Amino acid sequence: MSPIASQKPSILIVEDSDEDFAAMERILLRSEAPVGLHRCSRAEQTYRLLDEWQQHPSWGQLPALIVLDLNLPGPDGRTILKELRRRDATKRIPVVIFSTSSSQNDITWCYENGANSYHVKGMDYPVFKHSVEQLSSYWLRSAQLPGSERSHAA
Amino acid sequence: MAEPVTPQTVDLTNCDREPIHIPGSIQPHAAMLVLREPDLTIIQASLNTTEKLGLPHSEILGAPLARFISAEDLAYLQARVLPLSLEAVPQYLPPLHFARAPRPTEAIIHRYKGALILELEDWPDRPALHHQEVFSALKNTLAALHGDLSVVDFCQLAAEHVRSFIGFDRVMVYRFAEDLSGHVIAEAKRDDLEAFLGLHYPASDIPKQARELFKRSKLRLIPDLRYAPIAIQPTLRPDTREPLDMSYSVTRSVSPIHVEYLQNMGVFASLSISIVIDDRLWGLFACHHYSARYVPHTLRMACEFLAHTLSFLVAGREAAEDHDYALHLHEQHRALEEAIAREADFGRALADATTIGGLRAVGAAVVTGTQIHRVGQTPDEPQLRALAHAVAKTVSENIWASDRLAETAPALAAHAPGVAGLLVAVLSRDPFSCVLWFREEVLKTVNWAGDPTKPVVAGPLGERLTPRKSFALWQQEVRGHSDAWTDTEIEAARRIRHTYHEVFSRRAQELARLNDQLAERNRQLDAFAYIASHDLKEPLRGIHNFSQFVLEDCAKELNADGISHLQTISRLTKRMESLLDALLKFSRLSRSEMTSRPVNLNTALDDALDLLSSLRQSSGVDIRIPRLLPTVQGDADLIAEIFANLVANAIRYNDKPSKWVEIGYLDSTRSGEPPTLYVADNGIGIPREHFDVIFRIFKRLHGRDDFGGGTGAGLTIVQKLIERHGGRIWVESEPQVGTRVLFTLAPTSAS
Repeated sequence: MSPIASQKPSILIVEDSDEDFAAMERILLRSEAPVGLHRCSRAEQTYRLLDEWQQHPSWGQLPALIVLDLNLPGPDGRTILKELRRRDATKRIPVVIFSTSSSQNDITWCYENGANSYHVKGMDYPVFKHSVEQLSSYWLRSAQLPGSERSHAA
Repeated sequence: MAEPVTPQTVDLTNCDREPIHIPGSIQPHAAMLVLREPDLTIIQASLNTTEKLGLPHSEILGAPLARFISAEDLAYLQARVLPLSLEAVPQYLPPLHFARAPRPTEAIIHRYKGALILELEDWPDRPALHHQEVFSALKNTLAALHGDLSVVDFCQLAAEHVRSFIGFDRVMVYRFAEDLSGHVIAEAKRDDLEAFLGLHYPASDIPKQARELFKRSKLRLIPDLRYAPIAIQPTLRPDTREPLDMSYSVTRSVSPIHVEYLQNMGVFASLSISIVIDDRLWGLFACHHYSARYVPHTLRMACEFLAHTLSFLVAGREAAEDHDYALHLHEQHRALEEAIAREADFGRALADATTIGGLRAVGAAVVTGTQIHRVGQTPDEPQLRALAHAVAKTVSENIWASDRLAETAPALAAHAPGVAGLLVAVLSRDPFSCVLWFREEVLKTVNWAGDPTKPVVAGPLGERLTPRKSFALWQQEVRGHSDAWTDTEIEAARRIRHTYHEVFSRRAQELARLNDQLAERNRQLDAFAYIASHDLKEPLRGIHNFSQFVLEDCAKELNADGISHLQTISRLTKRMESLLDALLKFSRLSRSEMTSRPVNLNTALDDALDLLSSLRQSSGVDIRIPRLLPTVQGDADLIAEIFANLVANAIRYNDKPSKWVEIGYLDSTRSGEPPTLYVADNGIGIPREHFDVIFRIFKRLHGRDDFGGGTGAGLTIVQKLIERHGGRIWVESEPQVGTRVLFTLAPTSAS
């Protein structure tokens, strides 16, 4: 469970579907600029990982980006999003939603509650692949993030 | 003061007020002594005591009775009679022989208001009677008066026996109707006389206070109508200073009007015996003789006894007849309740199972809202509808009855030709529902004894009016009267109404419960559709992605077939996704909020057409909008969605080289009704047998990839959107020619 300490920017993916994670993992690991990947499939697991991460400076920086699925067993992605935005340690980390739902209600709700972008998991692999690659390159390389200069121990 | 009543002082205008209980005089065949108790001093006496008793008036007034009758008679009187309660109950005495009287007189005595009144009747050729004879005749009569005789048969038999007792020319049994007119229901008469049976006599023939007296004093005899009344002297009672109340006196002088009435009929002697049931003057024996005739006390007793027995028998028979009917109605009601348990439709249950409650009627109808059930003879349906409408407007009672509809409720009679009697049980007011029972005219002709509308004519004595002189048959065409509705029937109607309400409230509760259940099931179904389609998408996406991985990773190892199969898998997952999306959208429709604002339909249509721009361009369709669309109440987004779906269908299902789609509306035929919108095309059309099927979700009439390969959910979604607006959708179409889809966006009275 404990991530390997690394200076590489990493992405935390909260996703209960192994197949969906496999697809994302495949795309991200095959991209030009490899990233560190962490996966959680439940809310409690996500909170525990983040707690431990904070207690172990040796693990390096918290993930630079969190990818969140909305429909999860137990507390769902909405609950996790609110919790991430509540915690000091995670409230500045960009969170992007990947969900099957194309419901306007869901989309609006997520933006209102601090999501940085919302993506519908479609049934078109090339389109999906493109958006995941773009996401990674945008948030991990183009965008300037607050955490990048922040000392973890501070 | 209490002058003897004479024709000059009473006329018919005051007849109803005439104080006939204090005439101050008696008939001349009798003498009257008014005694003071306990010493039996004579305080008042009729002025004919010399003639009847051989005692001058001046001699007996103030003297004790003991002075004039035998010690034996006095002892009998004091020991056996006076201790009885004689108050208002005349008691027959054995004949009394006054010392100087030519012969013994029949005597009758009663007390009333503190006076002891002794009446002494003397008739010269009184028939000699043996008690055994009378009692055995009475016994025979009573023996005949039982069994399964009807009330009328009872009365006929009694009339015959009374006539054989008293030997009068005519003995009739009158029965009083509710309007107090009399009706001759039985008659025994001398063969040569004209029959009065079946004749009706107007209520005015027997004034109100006379009926009251008839009820109290059950027997009156006038042996000879051609009499001069004999005054009582002194005119006032010495003890009370008031006129003597003769309510219970048999020999009281009768009203001159009554005398004249009987004389006009040619009657010389009259005997009437009341038939009283439950303190109600049910009827009377009216006995006429065409010469003077006296009825001895023994026979009077027999007749009174007979009348009394008859009133019991009639009361019993009437109660039994009523009881049988009430029982019948109760049974019918039970049948109704059972029928309702089986049959959901109250009106049909009422009409089928019980011939509408089992009430005696020629026909009946149940009007529940717009439904009508008829049994027997009733007005036709449009008339019934109008009648129910009129009842709703004019009848405020829940149970209403009339046995003369045209007279009492012309507004209702107008819709019920041929109906004379109507009984209504209002079941509910909104929607108006009622049960109607009909009766036809019963008496087309009433045979009045004389013209009842002219009961009085001006008499020979100037201003004074006299009773009608003609009793010749006078036929009246009575229109629009039916048998009266009885309390038992009204009660039965009330019970049916009550049952309806019980059933109705039970059904309403049941309906509310089912509604809740249905709403909950619908919610569950929607949630199911939403969750299912959502959850189905995840593995589907996996299949899709993994087939892509294989294509990416192993393209070199696969042959052309393998690659094609993987591409098919990928394509099928996409198709399944669009089906799931449609299902999601449909399930979302019923859960999403809907706003209701004025919507300019032109704007909504423009939005829809924008969405379809690429389809429109590729098809080259001609969009026709013959006139500007109206503004309606609704949800703009949902209405745009309706147009988009319908226009897209109209464009897709079209194989003509030059396609057109027309969007327009029909003016509403009634004010307040919403307009009917339509989307018409010159497309392939829809066979009539598929008109319903096309609204089923995922139902496609054509090949999967024909006509643009839709999911088959479009019309289902449109129907749902229209239903959410309260409107309806329907289709007109001719295959190969075109289709017109029509819809409304608000409830109409027809829907």
